[in-house]
Amino acid sequence: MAEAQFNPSRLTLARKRRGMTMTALAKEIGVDLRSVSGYEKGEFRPEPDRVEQLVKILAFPREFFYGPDLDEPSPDIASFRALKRMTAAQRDTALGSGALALLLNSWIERRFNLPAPSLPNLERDPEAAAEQLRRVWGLGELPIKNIVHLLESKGVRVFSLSIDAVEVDAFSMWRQDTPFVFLNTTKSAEHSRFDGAHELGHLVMHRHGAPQGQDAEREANAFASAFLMPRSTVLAVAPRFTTVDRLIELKKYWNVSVAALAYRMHTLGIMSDWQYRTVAIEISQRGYRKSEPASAPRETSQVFAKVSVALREDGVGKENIADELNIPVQEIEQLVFGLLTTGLTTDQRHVRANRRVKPKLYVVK
Amino acid sequence: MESVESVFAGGDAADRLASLGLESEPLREVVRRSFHAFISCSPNHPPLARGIWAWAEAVRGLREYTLPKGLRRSDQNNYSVVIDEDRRIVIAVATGDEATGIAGLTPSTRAVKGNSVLLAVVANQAQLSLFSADELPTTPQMAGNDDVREDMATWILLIHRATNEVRCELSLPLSMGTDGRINAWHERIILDAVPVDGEPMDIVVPDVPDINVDVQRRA
Repeated sequence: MAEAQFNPSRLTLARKRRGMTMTALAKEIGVDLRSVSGYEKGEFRPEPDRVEQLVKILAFPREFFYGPDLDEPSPDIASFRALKRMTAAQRDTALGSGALALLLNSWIERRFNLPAPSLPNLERDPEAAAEQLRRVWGLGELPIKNIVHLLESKGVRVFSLSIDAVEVDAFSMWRQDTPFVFLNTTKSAEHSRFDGAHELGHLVMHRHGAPQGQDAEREANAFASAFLMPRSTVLAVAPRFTTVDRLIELKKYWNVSVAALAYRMHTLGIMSDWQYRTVAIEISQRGYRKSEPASAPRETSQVFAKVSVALREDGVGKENIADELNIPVQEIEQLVFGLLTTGLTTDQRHVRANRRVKPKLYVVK
Repeated sequence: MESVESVFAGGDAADRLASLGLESEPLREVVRRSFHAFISCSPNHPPLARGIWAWAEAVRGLREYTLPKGLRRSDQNNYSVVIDEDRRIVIAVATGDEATGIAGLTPSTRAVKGNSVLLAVVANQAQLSLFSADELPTTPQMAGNDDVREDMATWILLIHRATNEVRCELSLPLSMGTDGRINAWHERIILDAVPVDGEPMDIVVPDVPDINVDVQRRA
């Protein structure tokens, strides 16, 4: 460690991950802005005392700041849902999470073979792209039972974002040839499923174009709507006349929000403009845009569940991974849908190794 | 009773409506709105509500459609209509029986069903007194609204909720029976029925297999 040098880019990452400005950080550690700016530009290194303060304030281990440069997603390659309402700090916090996810993903991929990415590149016509993707993946007209599992099985690395900001729904990006999706798990299951489908839309339609801007957002929304609620099934199942109470029953078919279903029915011409307006107003008045009625259980990752089981066999828990990666264990918890468990202590592992316990294999559904 | 009515349907209906300054689709939307109001009542609403709401929404819809065209509304003595002064036309809304919207049959406005609380409460309100418990007003009272002059023709947007559709027509009554029901028509303009779902069907979510995400240890 003595040889390692303080890495300015890691300080920037930690600061942004905590949603702090340079000014705020300078104030917290009692230096002027110029100093923090200097640390981050690599013009000079923080004194050992200052480093200890940074460790305390930013809640990252000391070693974190002495690691090599990290692969950091930049704002221009990531597509954010609901970017308009998001502040730069919120975006940076989310991107910081993304950088740590890349780190964690490499750790996992060194130990496990995960499904290879198999996303086609599709035209920017949402309705057609959604239909085509269903065809390519052989999904027929069936509802998507679990969008996280579907994404994972197609090689998308799905991480949870635990960001206490309603403005940050989800984001996605391509890193080399691997697609990543980050979902805010504080949303309702239905909201999160729509976010997952929305990000999938970006990944298949906007890989080589700009994944940002209002057009891209509209396209991704239309894609999500069409992918989750295929046209012909909605036409077949949805009543031509309906009330909000009926929609609440009906939405269970596709496991979408009542608002998303009403929107889809209007898009497909099953609801007239007037009817849609009436229903939309009632949905808002009943508070369903903030709190989904008859909400389904949240989806979680199958990859992390299986990795967790396998690691437990080796006595490896999230703390061990955190130690190896020099990041706070909470960061890992937040990224893996809370699925990685606590590992064994070194002593326990030692005992276990001596007993030559044969690893059991579990099938996790 | 011998039928002396002229019946317009399909393209003829569109032409006849056009001569009255009206179009089919917006009138059907009025019917849709009325139906939606009807089915939006819950078991916790008073049973009388849905009939009133259905009628009220139809009247509102009819007004929102026609007032921008220059018609005016009139509610004298609770006889709620729209009036086209230029064409000397009055349009009211009423519930018709099952013959509504069918060319070969002669529809009638619904019969008054017995006394209800509503009848007692609003006996002095000419129009409401003709409500049955869950229906639209039956026969619009021609009398009681000074805005409606004798030289005006009163058309009725007749609406009937059947199981799988809502049938509707815009018709000009010829005579009224002794029971207050309209039973003969001078003209009937039959609109395409508005399809609706019958009994709510059970939603059976198809059985979708679980996805297995293959995760293998590296050797």
